[in-house]
Amino acid sequence: MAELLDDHPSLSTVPAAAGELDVPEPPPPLDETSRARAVLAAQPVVEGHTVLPPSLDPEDLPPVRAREAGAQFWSLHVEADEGVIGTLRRIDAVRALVAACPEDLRLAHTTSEMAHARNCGRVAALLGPVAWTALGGSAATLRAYQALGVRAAGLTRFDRFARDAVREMNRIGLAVDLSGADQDTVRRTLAVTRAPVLLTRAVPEEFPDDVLGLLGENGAVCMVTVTDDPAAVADVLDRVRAEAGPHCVGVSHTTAPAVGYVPLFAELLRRGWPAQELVGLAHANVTRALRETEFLSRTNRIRPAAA
Amino acid sequence: MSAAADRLAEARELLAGHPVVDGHNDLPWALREHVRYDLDRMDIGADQTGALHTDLARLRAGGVGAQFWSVYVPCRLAGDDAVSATLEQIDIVDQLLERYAGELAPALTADDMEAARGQGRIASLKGAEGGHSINNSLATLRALHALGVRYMTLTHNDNNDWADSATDEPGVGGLSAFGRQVVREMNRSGMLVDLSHVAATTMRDALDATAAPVIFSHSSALAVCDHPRNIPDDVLERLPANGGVAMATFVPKFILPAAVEWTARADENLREHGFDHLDTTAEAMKLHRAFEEENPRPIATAATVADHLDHMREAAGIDHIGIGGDYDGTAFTPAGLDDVAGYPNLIAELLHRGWSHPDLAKLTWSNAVRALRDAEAVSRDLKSRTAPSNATIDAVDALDAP
Repeated sequence: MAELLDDHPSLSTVPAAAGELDVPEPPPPLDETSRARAVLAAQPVVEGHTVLPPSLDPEDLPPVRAREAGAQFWSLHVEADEGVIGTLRRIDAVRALVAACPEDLRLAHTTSEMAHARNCGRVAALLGPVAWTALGGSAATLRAYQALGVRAAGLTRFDRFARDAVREMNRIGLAVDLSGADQDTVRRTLAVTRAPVLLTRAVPEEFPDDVLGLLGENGAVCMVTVTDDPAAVADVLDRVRAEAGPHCVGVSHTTAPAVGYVPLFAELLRRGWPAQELVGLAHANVTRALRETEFLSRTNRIRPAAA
Repeated sequence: MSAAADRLAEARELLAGHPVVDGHNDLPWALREHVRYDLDRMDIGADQTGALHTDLARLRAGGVGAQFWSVYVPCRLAGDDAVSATLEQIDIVDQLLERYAGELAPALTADDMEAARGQGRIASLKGAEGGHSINNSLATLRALHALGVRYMTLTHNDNNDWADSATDEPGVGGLSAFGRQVVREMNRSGMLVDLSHVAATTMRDALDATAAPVIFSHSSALAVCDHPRNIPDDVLERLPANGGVAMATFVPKFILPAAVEWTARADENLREHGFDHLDTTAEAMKLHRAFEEENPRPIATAATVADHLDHMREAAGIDHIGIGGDYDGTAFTPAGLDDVAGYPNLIAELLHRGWSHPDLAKLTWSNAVRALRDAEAVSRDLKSRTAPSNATIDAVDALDAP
């Protein structure tokens, strides 16, 4: 893979015997758009935020199989008054959707299953995040969601329950999603969690540089929303890359699905991002964060469950 | 003496090969009430005699090979609270399974039950007690199945929106249209329909609606003891066609006519003095104790349970009966069946009455395992032909309204 992305693909490295053949003109170097396309063709994006359509008429299935996506987090967000039942309904609906599209989607509970889905040519469906309000302040509910396949829970307010809940999430292997949390909540959560956090709908503009630095130390992934203005998104990503590190960038979703991710990736190439960092942006960073969460859980499971 | 001792030894030997599948044990709720789920403070790996009916040593002594642990929540919890509490009940069973993995084996299928028996571990299944646990949501029903719940009692002591309870006033008159939909979705999921606690009208409606065997996780025979929690003969007689299993319970106030009558008089006594019959305040309890001193509480025995099993066997057939003690869900138990170590006494009583070994093996083990296996087959079939239902009670029952 990396060879394909190296800066100057060229045939001239093969020495031709002088005089025997006309050395062909080396092809022109690929332009950034072509290279971005090549990256995305081989490195499908893990999208942090996918929303279930309001109605699930099989006749009217949404374009679930986005061209450039390899895995998608399906948001289980509910309003505060919908609670546990609303969340269980959404889990059930995503499962029904995946069951209705076996050629396109496959439910994945682990990073291994994500890779397996991709190897089978399916888009991996990851359940989560669930809304913090849907936990009802109960660690048992957290464990029930985990048992039902949920991979992440959104923490937006660091209350008394949150400290124990974050530790329990570390123990059972649920990622903490800090999308929408203020910087105070982010700081307090990072002081507790031992696993990398996710921001499936990150808005890094809201955080000062030192918070981005803390996220970098944690190994967090800031998954940013891609718009039809690649330069503006690249500015945001450049800042996250500078302050948190290249291992902290990721993609939430695109508001311009017709265009996709190629213009952004081309823009980043023009700005000198090495290909390997684009692979991280596309999927490797979030996969690494999820895998670390799984590893930590396996070593933590010997501890008793939290009350 | 020696004949009785021989029978007890014979019963134990029989249970070693065909241990008891018990339909209902309320240990999870007892752990919630006594110690707020703090398993360090109530360790069933140690002797809990006096505190609980259930601990691991006594389960073993009782010859229990499979237990449906009830993830009961009371009817006073409604809506999301009932669902959350049910998740907590499920979670504590999972914690028990993790903590006592050497003795308890998680079981989701009939094959799992057989495997656990082979390993000498107690197959542990979960049963929900009351349709309020799904708050009228079929998606929640499927979530409970995914979390390992393998039966749901359609009601507890109160009616819910779609099914009538045996101990409430008639509501929808059995099962509503949505209630029938719940039964079919349970069939499709592979969750056994449990008809304990429900009104006779609900039993009949459910038997009409179900495509899979039903169970009664803890109910006895109405013909032997006239209490609404028991099963009328016409329903027992339908079990052969359905393939289901009625699991006889041990609760004295349901199975011993004298205890039914005594309970009615004790309740009446409380009401005469201006208390509710469920009142547990100090004043009410004092009055109740005085009543109990003057009127000794009638004592049920293993023979009382055997009387029910004899009749249920006549009405439903040997292939359609089982055992569901309701330990830790009832304050009083029959003499000789005081706790989960007591099952051998019941088997010895049945041996005394001439039950054969193959018959007893069906009663203790095979019938219940078969019912679950048959429900799994129905589920596979329905899943291959039908999609999950997302019907809502508002839509279904409104259409059905006259």
